[in-house]
Amino acid sequence: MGCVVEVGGATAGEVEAIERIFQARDRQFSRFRPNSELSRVNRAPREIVTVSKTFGQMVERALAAASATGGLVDPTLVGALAAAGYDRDFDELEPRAEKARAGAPGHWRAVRMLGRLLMRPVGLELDLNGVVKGQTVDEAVGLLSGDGFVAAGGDYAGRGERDIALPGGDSVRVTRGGLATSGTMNRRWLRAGAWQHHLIDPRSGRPAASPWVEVTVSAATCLQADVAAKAAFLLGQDGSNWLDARGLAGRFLPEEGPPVVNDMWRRSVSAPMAA
Amino acid sequence: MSRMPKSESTPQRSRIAAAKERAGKAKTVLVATAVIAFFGAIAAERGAHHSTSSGTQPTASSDESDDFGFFDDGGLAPSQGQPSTSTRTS
Repeated sequence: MGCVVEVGGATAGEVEAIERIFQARDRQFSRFRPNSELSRVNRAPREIVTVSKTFGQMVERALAAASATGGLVDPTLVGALAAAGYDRDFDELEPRAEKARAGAPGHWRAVRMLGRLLMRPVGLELDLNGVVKGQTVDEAVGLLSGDGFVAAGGDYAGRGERDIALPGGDSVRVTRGGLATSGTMNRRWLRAGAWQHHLIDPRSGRPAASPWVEVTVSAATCLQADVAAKAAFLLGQDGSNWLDARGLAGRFLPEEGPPVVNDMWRRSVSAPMAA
Repeated sequence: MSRMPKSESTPQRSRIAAAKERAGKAKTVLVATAVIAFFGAIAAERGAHHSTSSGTQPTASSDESDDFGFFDDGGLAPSQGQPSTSTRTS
């Protein structure tokens, strides 16, 4: 998945099991492995494709995330990512002279799952990375027999209370659920001298313009936190209220200046007043 | 003596044959219904694809999400010690 996976509090056997699940998910859902199930599905010249149970469940999660975010977290933006220049493994991206183009807007509503039958227009490719990493972190934590945590590329889930360092300094104690950060600090590249990033606005088909460089969200699961962080990033200034309306705590790091937090974060993290 | 079994077995066989025929018809009806339902569902889904992919674009705004049941809050508190790990751009 192009990220480091950290595991704490696990036995040696649990670490091996967690390693296996991440490797399996990478083999199954990588856009850049020609033999991954995702690549085979994206190449299939038929509207209806039979997929594995795990694949189908991941598509259903991706569609639920799209629905829950009004289409902001959309699994059908492969063309837009490629048009922005993200057309190979991230480690292989190099600055190029040609300008980035706008890709097709999202079409998640054109995707359906019926049992294990995936239906979508031929040529509409899927990228399930928006849900695979968070879901895998949640499943990996389920493999722990005691208190511990799993963190992958900034997506965190754990059992027991734990302090977590935040972007731009400071830290917070996670007492329950997951914590995830989405932003443009790491996964970005140059096209014709302009920075591009992987958080595509499905309305424009281009990397989103946002006042934030990092958005961190706490939720009941890592998957939920990751989806909400992406949506809040894409919503820009409206992200704070969007999270508050859903009872989610969020912290927004701008390009310059101190982080901004929403009401839910402030209520949770503010030190209790002395009596 | 030899007629009795014959005269009794003929109506038995015809009853069995009739039952088999009824069962066969019911099975055919069930299979046909399942096939019609399956292809009907596929046709409906295809119709949905074409109506969404040809004309409309996704409506991504903060007011149009259907997130009932998707999001639940986590638990946060002030930090009390050295961080075990970090969260950063994913």
